[in-house]
Amino acid sequence: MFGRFGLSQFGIVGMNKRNLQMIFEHNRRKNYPIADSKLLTKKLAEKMGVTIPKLYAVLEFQHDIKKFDEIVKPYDSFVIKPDHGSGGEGIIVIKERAYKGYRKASGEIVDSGELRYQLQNILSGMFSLGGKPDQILIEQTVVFDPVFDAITYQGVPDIRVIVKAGVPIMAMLRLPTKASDGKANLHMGGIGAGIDLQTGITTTAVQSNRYVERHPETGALLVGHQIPNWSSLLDIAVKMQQGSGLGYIGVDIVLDKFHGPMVLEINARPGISIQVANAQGLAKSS
Amino acid sequence: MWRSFLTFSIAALCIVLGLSIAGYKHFALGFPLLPDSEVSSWYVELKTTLQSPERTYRDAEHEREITADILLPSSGERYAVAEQHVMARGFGKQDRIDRDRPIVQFTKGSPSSMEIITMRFMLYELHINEETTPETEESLAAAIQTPYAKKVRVFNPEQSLAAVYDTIDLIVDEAMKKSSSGSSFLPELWKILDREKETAEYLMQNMNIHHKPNLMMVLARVAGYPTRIANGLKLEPDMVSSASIRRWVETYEDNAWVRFNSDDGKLISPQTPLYRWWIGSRELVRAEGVGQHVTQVSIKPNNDSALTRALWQASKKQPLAYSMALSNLPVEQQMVLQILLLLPIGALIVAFMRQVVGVKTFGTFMPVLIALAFRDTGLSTGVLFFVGLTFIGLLMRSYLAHLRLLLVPRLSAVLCIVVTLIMLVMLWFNNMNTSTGLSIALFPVVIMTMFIERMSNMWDEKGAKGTLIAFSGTLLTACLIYAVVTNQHIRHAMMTFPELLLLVFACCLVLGRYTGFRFTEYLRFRELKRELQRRQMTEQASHISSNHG
Repeated sequence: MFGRFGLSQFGIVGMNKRNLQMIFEHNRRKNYPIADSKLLTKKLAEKMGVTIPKLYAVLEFQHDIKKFDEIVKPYDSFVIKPDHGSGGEGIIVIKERAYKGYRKASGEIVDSGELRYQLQNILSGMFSLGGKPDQILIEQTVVFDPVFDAITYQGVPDIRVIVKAGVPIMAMLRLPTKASDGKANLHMGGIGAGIDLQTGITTTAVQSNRYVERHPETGALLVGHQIPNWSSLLDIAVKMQQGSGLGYIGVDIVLDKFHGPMVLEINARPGISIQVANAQGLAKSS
Repeated sequence: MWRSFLTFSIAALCIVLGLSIAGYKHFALGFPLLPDSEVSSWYVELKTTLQSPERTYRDAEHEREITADILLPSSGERYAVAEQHVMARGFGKQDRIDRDRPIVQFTKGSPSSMEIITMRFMLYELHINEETTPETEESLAAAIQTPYAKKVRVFNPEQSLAAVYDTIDLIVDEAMKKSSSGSSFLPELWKILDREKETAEYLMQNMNIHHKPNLMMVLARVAGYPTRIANGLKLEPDMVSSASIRRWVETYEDNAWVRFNSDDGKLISPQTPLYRWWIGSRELVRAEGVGQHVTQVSIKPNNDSALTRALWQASKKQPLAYSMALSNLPVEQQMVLQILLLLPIGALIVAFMRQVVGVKTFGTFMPVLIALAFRDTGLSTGVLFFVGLTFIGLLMRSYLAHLRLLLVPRLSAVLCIVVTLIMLVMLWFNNMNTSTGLSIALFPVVIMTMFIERMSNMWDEKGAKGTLIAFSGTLLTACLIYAVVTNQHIRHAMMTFPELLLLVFACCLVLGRYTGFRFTEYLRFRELKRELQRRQMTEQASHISSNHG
């Protein structure tokens, strides 16, 4: 009907096509829990021998929250994550202890009460699909490899690799900006940089649906960055896909300064914005 | 591929099946595609619920019998009665005539605690004769009867008969002085009674009269005008689920009965579609041996005389098609079905808006429910109400966020706010004398609560822009659905040809296998496409230049 707009001639995949021909086709519903629960993803990663941020504790019940201060006592910095959250929602990164409470990665200070309220929200299922009661993971903070420092503004740069049936088909580097509030989500204004699968070098970059050359805050060039350990990173992504039983997934990987590539989560319904970041259609590359 | 093929085959099958059934009904049986532009017949349904009184131990030994007398409708000079059905399980039925009125008496020996009697009939408009047949002397006699002393009985022994008679004479004389005929007498009388409220009250008490029309009738008869009480229904072009029985006064003048509304004191124009069910001040249903009885009358306009005709013919030719016709169902069930049959269409619109247009909505069926609520309130009031309620609710909700409440109690608190807001709006509407307030009660309160909660969460997480986009998407979709479900033709088509659901089903299947782009994706990928085209061009250009080289 809209043939004259000509998106399909470039192999661009829309949401409907992604759902029907990629997700429904390759992913069995019974395998979704592995991708939806970060805890199960962690277990899978351990089984496959893939490095992950160390798990400090799991909070399941309200009374666990009461003991929160005690539980995190041994750790200076840690990350709080809802087990079933998606798109980075509900994640709180604690950088260090402050005089009263905790200092978040953004520098903001939260007192213990405020933090416990947010934990309660997570338990009540505020970030889980369908509002189902959730669990909270407390895990090790990743010490980011400084390799992306020049093109990152406050936050977590990560690499999304889409793997289909054992083959990585597309990858992008997601970079936080001021607009995205330190988060690497594209729809919140983060930068997506396409990566050449052979070389692991960034090729194009996009922010808020516009092609950009430089990071808006740091001003550094976004194209031409080499991702270290590229082939081992791809290996990890493929391993995760094969172990999960899902045929088409997105694997989110961060680079740790000391431990190398670490899997943060896997996604059974990876988004299609990656096409814009790579200036390439998914149908062409698979 | 195989799945798509299977889906499209099933869809095609459904379309063929649906269209052929509808086609057969239309072409072979003559079921009309479009409703009538004017209504000329109505379905009337009477439902009487009889509740047994609290039974004592002694009563249980000898079962008490219950009886219910119901006045039967009869054809008059303007409307004729047809297709009368009575449903009263386990009741004995007996017809009798009481003062020229046909009555059906139901009796049951050992009733259960609640018994229901339903009666359905159809009223259709006759062509009004210019010359109505005048009443005979005999039939008029009852309406002229004014044996003064006999009719006007005085019930209060402390009051002297003469005092009451004097009051009557005073009023009647004043009204007669200002009027020249029965039809001008009644409005004058009404004005006097309206002015002298205490006198009217005094007369009604002493004459044991409970209703104003009855008092007026007696006084008009004293003045010598043939007058009677009539009761019936107002037949309107809309469906009424609980119609009120109206009572009015009639006076005989120039060989015809002139009707007078004793509520507003005005004559009722002859064009007013009033069906006279019975004459006299008797009530419609009289029951004995029961604790309580409630009667509900619903009226459904039959904007489909062609359908009625076709059905009537089909009843002989094609009994199956006749028995499957939805218009055979009780009116109440038809009203429910009317909504139910439109739900899938609404859902199909949501599916279309999501898969093909790419409009974001809150929840899948939220827009359908909102559209149904709009159906009751009207579009402009509904939209205003919906937007207002959502934003006030959001403000309150954002305050609640400061209190740090747990999720489920917080939802319950928001529900309290929503209910309070609805209550306030109803009160406000009531003070402005608008009837919209009543129908707002049907607004899906719980859905509204979830909506506010979800919006507020989205606001926090995704910012105002995304939230407002989804909000307008929901509203837009709801308005579209509203336009479709209130369309008379679509409603008629679904009720006459319910097999069209197969088509809706087929559309859902096809949409479910739609792999094309959503309309909004053309915007989303606009930059990508431009970039790709630019690259293609430079590639071609380099090709050309390298060829040259």
